[in-house]
Amino acid sequence: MHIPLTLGDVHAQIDTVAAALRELTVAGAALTEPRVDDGLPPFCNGIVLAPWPNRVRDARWSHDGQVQQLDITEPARGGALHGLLQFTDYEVLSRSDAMVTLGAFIAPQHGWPFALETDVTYALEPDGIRVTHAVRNVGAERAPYAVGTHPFLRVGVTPVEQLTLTAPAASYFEVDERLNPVAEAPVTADVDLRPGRVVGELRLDTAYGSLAHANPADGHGDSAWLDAPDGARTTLWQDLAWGYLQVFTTREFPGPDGPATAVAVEPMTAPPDALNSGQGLIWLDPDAAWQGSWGLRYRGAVS
Amino acid sequence: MSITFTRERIVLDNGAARAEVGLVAATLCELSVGGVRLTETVQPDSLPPMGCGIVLAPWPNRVRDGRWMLDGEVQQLDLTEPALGNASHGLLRNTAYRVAEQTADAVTLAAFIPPQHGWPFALETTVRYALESDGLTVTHRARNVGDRRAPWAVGAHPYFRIGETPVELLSLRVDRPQYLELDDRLVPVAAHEVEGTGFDLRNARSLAEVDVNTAYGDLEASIGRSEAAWLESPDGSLLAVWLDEDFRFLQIYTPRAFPRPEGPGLAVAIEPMTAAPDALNSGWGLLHLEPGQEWTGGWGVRYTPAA
Repeated sequence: MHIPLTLGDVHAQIDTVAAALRELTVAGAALTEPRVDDGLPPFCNGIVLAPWPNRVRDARWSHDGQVQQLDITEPARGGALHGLLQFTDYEVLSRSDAMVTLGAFIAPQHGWPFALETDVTYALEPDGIRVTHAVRNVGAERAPYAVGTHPFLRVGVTPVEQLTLTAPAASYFEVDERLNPVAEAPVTADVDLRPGRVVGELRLDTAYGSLAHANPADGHGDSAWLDAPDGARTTLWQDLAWGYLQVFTTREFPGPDGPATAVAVEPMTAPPDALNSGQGLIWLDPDAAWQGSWGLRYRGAVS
Repeated sequence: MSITFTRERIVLDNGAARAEVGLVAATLCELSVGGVRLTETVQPDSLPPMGCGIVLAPWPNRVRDGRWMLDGEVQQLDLTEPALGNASHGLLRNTAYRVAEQTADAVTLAAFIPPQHGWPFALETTVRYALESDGLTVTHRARNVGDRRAPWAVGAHPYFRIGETPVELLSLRVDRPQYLELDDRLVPVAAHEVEGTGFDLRNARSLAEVDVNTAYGDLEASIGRSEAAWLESPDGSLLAVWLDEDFRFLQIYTPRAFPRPEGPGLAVAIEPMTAAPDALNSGWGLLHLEPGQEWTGGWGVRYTPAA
């Protein structure tokens, strides 16, 4: 089901499947790649990644000395990718013109002996959107949790390859041939996004850490921004507790005129394979709750 | 480690029969008639052991390698049985269904199956559990809400019993002439007549002597709604499983170590299925729904106490 949201000249479409952000515009300018059909979201466009973002190596991890075997959701690489909700049709818990809260239960299942109630709130703001993820452990065991989302960002109609991407991240995760992280290291010149890089020159499927959130206020700060040549800017912000970003570029994103360059900038509370490394994992005691937010805002061309 | 969690269950009661239904996988957690348990019990706040009571849609049982072909294109499903490399029991086993309609003695649960890895279709599905004076009627529905023709199959995974009689003292009869031969990955490789084999269950046999995990059916004939399998207790109490015409297969599974609070033991799953295991590849029993088309089919269980 699609849920339209409106606040002045800000419009969004939310999909109940994977609680996905289908579309977001401010004053007619697209901040994200729009979904154009009801098929599988191309390259996971807009979906929620919970209770872990990115990959779990071999879909296996260990908990209290026991091997946990998750379902293999990326058979080509043998991993478990993007959590357990990417094909879940969320329930609408509350709704108004400019806000919707969607809920999903994560049931105990293969490799995941925990029970979590989760919800996602999309709330429009005058210049963008605020997205809040909440979780409560309804099981009898302490449970790990991590969350991320998978928006592809735009700045209106400017071709994405012409945009400049900046992200204040001082470290990145080296990966093996199956894209599993093997080490966190200071960013090298080829992956350093701090100076601002033209998207058309980037080839990334890379996780970043050591984020120095810019303009911190109220517990959150800017984690990445895309600038168009005309001065328009789309900014991603995330809670200070969200310490990670995945940046993914593709030349094959299905656009209205055929394959196009697109860039996903994915806010995450934990890096890839966190169930094995433990890095960034949030641990919830029985009945404990957690919530965190990220958002997008838009600034028009400087005239 | 034991997994416990708090999650609502639906209780149905018509004065004669009583059932509890869990929302995840639309699970039949327990069923009794006149206080006599007719199914194994999914303990409160627990996962269904060995698939006990869950709904299997849009396919029951296994898809080999999680792979099948659609219009000349390979479809790769998620591998939900990594040890054997298969995609097992459909796409809804971890899904919390929504309550679409509820009365004292019936409930309809709904779940949407969106397009996903290896499954480029959109189906609205429902399951209705309706108590009868002597048992339960289960009605499955599916509607293709996508824009392309979709395959469809459904099954259920109940384990039956008769009250507190140990399962090894029950006898089982299955009125089907063929069984499917499985390979070491538990995927069918051939269909055979049961006649003259150890798989012949057309005459009642003591469950203590039956050790199977295979599908039974009749690949040629289409049989109208009728009883297909029976459990009988030494005192003559009888449990009958009936199937609609489209439920052409029954998986019979007799695990020796089904977990119960008092310790593991023999249990018997009698699983109504519209299609054979690996039907996305063999086509055996596979139904197809055109865009907008709806399908309905059902099965049920009846209990007759000892005279």
